[in-house]
Amino acid sequence: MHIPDGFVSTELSVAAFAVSGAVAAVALKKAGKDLGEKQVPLLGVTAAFVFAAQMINFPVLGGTSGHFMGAVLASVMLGPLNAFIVMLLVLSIQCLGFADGGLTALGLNVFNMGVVGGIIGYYMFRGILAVSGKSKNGYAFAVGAASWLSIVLASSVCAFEIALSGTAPLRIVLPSMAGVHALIGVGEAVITVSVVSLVAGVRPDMLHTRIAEAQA
Amino acid sequence: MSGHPGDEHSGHTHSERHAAPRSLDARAKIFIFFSTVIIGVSTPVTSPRAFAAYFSAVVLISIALRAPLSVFLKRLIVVLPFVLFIAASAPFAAREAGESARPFLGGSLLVTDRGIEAFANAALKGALGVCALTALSLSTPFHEMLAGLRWFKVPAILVSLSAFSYRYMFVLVDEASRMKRARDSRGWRGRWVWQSGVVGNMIGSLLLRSLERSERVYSAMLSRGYDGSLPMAELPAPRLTDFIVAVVFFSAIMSARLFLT
Repeated sequence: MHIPDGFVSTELSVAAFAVSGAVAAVALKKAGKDLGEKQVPLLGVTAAFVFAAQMINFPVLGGTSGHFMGAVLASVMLGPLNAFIVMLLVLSIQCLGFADGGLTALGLNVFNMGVVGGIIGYYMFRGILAVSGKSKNGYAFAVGAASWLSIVLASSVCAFEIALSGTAPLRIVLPSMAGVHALIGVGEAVITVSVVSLVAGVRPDMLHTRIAEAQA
Repeated sequence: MSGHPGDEHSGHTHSERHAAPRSLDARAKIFIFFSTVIIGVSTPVTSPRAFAAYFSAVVLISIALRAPLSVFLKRLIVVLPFVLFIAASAPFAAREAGESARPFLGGSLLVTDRGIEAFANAALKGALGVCALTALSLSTPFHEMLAGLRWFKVPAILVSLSAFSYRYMFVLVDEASRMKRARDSRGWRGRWVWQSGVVGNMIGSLLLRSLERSERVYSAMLSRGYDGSLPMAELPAPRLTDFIVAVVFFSAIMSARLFLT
C-alpha cells in the first residue's frame, strides 16, 4: 500500500501534501502543548514498535502473507492525533531511510494511513462502540470491525487515487485492492483485537480509550 | 525484507558503516536527490533521453559517494517487482471508448498505446524514486539526514521524534526477529488468516515489552537531565566542494529536463 513515485498525478500529490501537512501541523502543535515530556519517548517508541510489528508477516491464504498496519491499534492506544503522528513518523522513516514509498507520494501515503487509517479509523471505532455497547465483547468487536474497515477503506482510497491519476482504471484497481485487503483486513482485525485485549488485561493504563470511558 | 534493519545484526545501517569519512554535506545530498525525484516525476514519459540522463546521474553520484552498490541492487530487486506488478495492470486496462487495441498473448488480452504509456510512466518514475532515495539513505547516516532536514525547516519536534524512533527501531526489530525465531523453532507454520492470533500474541508481547522499555528509557533520560528537548547532531559547516557538487548536479538534471524533453 506504499504508493511509489510516479503513480499519482502532480495535482493529487500536491493536494495530499497540503492536507497531510495541515493535519500534521495541528497534531504536532497539540502534541507539543498537551503532552508531558514523558510522551516524547512514548510516541517515538510506539512508532518504532509499529515499524517492527510491520515486519512480522501473518498468513492470509494457503501460505501467502500480509503485514500489519497498526493505525487503529495506535489510535485506540494513543488517541487519533497521536496515532496520526505515529503513522507520519513510520512512513517518513520508511520513505527516507529505506526507500519504501515514494517521496512525492509521501503526502498521499500519510493521508491514506494516517488520516484515513488512524483518524477516520478512530472515529469508526467510536461509532461502532456506541452501537456495540461497552461490554468486553462490544469493545473487542468495535476494535476488530474498525481495524478491518481501516484497511479496506485505506486501500480503496489508494485505488481511487491511482485511478484518478490515470495510472490504471478504477474497475481494475478498486476490486483488486479492496478484494485483497478485505482478506488482509481480517488478519489486521484478529491481531489488533488480541493485542488490545492483552494490553487491556496487563496494562489498562496504557489504553487511551479505556481511560476516556472511565471518565465518561 | 532486505534493507530493513533486522538484516543487519550490528544495529547499524550500512550507511553508517560504509559512508566515506568526508562525504558530501547532508544538505547537499538531500537537495540533490529530492530535486532529482521531483524533476523526474514532472518529466513527460515520452522523453526517454531525459530519464536515461537522470538514472546515469544518480548511478554516477552513488559511485562517487561510495554507496555500496551491492546493497543498492538488493534493495532495487526487492522493491521493483512490486512497482512493476502494479504498473503492469495498466497496458491491458487503460482503454477508452473508441480507442483501438492490439491483441497480446494470442488475443486473450488487449493492449493500448495509452496503457503502455501509463505503464512506462509509473515504472520509470517509481524506479527513479527508489534509486534516488536508496542512494540518499545509503550515503547518509540517518542522524545527519535529520540534521539536514532540520536545516530545511522541518519542525524540530518531528525531527526529534524521528531520531528517537529510528534509534529504537533497531532494538525492537531485533526483539521481533528473536520472537519470530523462537516461534518458528517450535514448529509454527501458519498458512491461513484465522491462524493470525498467534501473530497477534507475538505483536502484543512486543508492544508490552516496547512500552516497558519506553518507561525505562524515560527514567534513564530523566536521570541524564532530560528536560523535554533532545539534543541534535550539528552538521559541520559546508565546504566549497559541497556547493559546487550541488550546483553542478542540479544544473545537469535541470538541463536534461529542459533540453532532452
